[in-house]
Amino acid sequence: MKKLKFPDPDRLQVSLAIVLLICGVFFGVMASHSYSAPGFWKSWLGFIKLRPLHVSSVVFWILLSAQALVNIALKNITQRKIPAWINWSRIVLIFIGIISIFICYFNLQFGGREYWEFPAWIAIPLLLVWLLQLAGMLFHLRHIPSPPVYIWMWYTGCTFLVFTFLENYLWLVPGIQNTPVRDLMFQWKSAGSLVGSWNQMIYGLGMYAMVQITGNTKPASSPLAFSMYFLGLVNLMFNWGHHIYILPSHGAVRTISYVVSMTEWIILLRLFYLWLKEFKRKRPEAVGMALQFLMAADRWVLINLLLALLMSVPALNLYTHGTQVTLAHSMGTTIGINTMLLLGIICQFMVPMQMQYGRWFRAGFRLLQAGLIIFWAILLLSGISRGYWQMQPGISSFQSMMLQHTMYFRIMAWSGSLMMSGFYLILFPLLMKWLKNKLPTV
Amino acid sequence: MISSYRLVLLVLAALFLAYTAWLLTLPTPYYNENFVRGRRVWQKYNCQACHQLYGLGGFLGPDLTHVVRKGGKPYLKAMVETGSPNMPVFKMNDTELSDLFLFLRGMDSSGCADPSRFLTTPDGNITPP
Ligand code: HEC
Repeated sequence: MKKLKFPDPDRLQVSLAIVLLICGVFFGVMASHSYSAPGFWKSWLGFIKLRPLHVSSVVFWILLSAQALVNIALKNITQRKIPAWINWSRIVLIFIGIISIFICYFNLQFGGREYWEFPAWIAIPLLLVWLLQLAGMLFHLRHIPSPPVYIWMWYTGCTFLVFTFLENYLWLVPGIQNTPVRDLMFQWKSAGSLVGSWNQMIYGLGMYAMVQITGNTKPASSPLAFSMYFLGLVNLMFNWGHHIYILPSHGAVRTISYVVSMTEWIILLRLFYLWLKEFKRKRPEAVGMALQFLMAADRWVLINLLLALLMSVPALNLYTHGTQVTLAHSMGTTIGINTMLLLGIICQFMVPMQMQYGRWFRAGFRLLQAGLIIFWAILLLSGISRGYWQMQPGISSFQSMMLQHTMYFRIMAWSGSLMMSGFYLILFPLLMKWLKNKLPTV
Repeated sequence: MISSYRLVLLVLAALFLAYTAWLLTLPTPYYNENFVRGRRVWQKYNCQACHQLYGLGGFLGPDLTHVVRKGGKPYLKAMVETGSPNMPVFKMNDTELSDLFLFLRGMDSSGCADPSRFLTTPDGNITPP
């Protein structure tokens, strides 16, 4: 009898993540069209469904691909396999979670909070997924004698992910989030740290890919690399308060996050200098596409960190808070940095096959970058305009302000569509190649 | 070297946990027992997709932190039951509507969400009105 052959669980997970990105981009573009055209899709797929569908799809694209890519990298490093049941239970729980979320959203069943708007019970399979991931990673840990900084980033990122995910559900515990200020404070504390946690995992992966490309391991284990890592960690732990400057919480919360946020200037300048130097030195042909994605991420790190730093000055934050400037920042981060890095790493992991990327793939890359820059800029402009409006109370009603912004919203929707076409030119061939490609096996 | 890195990590983690614990001990004014129930109504109908509280949430609709000042419960009821070109109609029962109203009233009394009323200090910081 022929033996049934199962696909590699991590490869399957990355494929699912790519499918989620494909869906997430579609929902996002539809949502942005409904901004500029009231009533658009209102009947069957209104904004109330589109927003959570979009957000959850892309959040799970990021989380699931980061998780699986870390696992693949760890497998390469330690040359060991973790027990199959850990992997397979994780995959089964992921499928249960994702399918339930989609069914609930389509049936208008919400109940959760921003980013996790699904009914709270779905958090149980998801929590088990993160715990199994952590268990698998701990299995590898004993086989890495002197871990470079990216290993530290993967482990702290994943541990914090579990912590922030649990903290995000504190509202289910009676008596904790029972007043407005504490409720919003803890909600945005965990939401802010969540992004910081996945950034740790993804930046770590980016560094790992860079080490593979350049063959230079030094930047990943120098004292400087560790100082930068700790600075990043301090920010993950203490800078979330910049989301809630106007909330009447304790004044120290504001001051601590202001001061801590400002230390990111150091990260900004250092990162820029280091990576640029490294990229310039060596550019092997075979990893062209991976490097292109990583370099694009590098540019976006710069632009976004600059924006984040400005937004973290409380006096400036008054103008940007509650406007599309925040949206520009989160789109720049999740698409420009996180997604570019993840796609670059996926390409890098296919290098053993000496992948050839066709003309369409390259065209897609350019479309994506062009679409994103227009999208980002228009969000920024409309946000600044809304910021001006909110600082002049009574200048005009909400409705007329939104009406004046119709042109911005149209450009936003069409640049989003441009980005979507770029994405699709990349993602469909990438998915095909990823499914066929043989990963380095142990 | 690795052991000193471990120590730094431990110290940071301890500071982080202490900070979190301290936040939990801060006084919590404006408690009312319907707040939590109203919050769940807000989540159940996903008002956050379009509305903000203290500037946090979706941007398609206005910030609702102080909306109860506009016309109290009747106004909220009217908005929820009739919607608008960009806002769907919601079918809520009376208890849900009352809880939601008390939740929003709690939000309103907890502070000021109007950025134009904040004062700035020379070091770039802000103080509430
Ligand atoms: C799909 C987006 C959407 C959702 C979901 C939504 N709203 Fe709205 N809401 C709007 C928009 C947009 C406006 C502004 C009126 C307009 O321009 O049509 C509005 C206005 C309001 C207003 C009047 C605000 C004012 O300043 O006059 C209230 C009150 C309100 N919504 C309550 C709610 C509640 C409560 C929920 C959840 C049960 C909710 N909305 C869900 C889009 C939405």
